[in-house]
Amino acid sequence: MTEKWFSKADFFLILAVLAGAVLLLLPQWLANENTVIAEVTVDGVTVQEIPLKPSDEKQQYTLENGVVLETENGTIRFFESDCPDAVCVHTGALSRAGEIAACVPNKTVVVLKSEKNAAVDGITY
Amino acid sequence: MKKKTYMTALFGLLAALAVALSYLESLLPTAAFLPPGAKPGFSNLVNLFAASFMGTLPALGIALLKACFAGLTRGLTAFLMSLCGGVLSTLLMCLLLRRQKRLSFIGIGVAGAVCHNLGQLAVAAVLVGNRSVLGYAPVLLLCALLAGTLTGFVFRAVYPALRRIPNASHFITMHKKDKKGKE
Repeated sequence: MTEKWFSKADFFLILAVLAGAVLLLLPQWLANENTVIAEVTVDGVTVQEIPLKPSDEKQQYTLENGVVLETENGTIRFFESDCPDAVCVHTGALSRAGEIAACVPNKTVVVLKSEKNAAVDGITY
Repeated sequence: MKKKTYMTALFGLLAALAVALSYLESLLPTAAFLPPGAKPGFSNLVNLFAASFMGTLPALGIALLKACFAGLTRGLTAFLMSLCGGVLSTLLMCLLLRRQKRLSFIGIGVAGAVCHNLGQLAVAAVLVGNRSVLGYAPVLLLCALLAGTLTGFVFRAVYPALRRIPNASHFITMHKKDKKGKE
C-alpha cells in the first residue's frame, strides 16, 4: 500500500493556516511605534496602566498576587512569578503595541497598547 | 478475549509513551527562536497512532491520561489546558482519519496541532478572564504548522513499520475497508 506523503489538500490547508496567521498579525505589524502603554489585568480586571518610555529607568512593580513586573527602556517583562512553568517569564520583554505576555495560573495578562488608541478611548468615555 | 488483553496492554504502553514524551519535551530548553509556551508536541504522535490503529476512545483516553499527568506535575491550569487541547485535536484527527481521503498524514497532523493550540488558547482566555490573550493566536498557528508537519512527516515515515504490528485494527479509511465497531 503506497500512501502519499503530501497531498494537494495538505498544501491548501497549510496555505490557509499561514494566511490566517498573517492576517491576524497584520494589525500588529502596522501598529505605529508611538509610546506604548502596558495594561496589566488580573482576572480580567485592569489593575495598572504603565506608560513605557524609551528613557525609563529600571523599575519593578509587585502585584497583589506576587507577580513582579519590570520596566526598562520602554520595555516591560514578567520578572518573577510563582507559576510552575514560568511561561510568562520566558516570554521576555515586550515593547511593541499588540504584544502580549500572560501568566495563566496567576490570571495575569500584560497587553501593550499604543498611546493613540488609549487617547481615543479616553475621549470616548 | 485475547485481543482485548492485547489492546489493553497496548493502551497502557502508549499512554506511558505519551507521558514520557511530554516529560521529555519539558526538559528541552526554551529555544530562542520559538515563542514561549510553544512545544513541538512529540506526544501528538502517540495520539495520532492511537487514533489510527486503536480507535477514537483509546485515543481520547490517552489524551485524558496525559492531561492528568500535566495536572499532577504542573497544576490545575496545565490539566485544563492539556485536556482541552488534547481532546479537541484527538477528536478532529479521528474524524479526519475516518471521514476523508484527501488530507495525508501531514495535513492531519497540522489540523490536529492547530486544533490543539487553539483549544489551549481558548481555555487560557477563559481562565485569565481576558480576551486579549487571543492575540497570541497567530504565533501559535505558525507553531502548529511546524509541529503538525513534523508529526505528520514522522508518522508517515514510520507508518509502513507500524502497519505490521499484529492485531491492531486499522481505522484509517484511506486504504482499508472500514471495520465497524470496537472490540
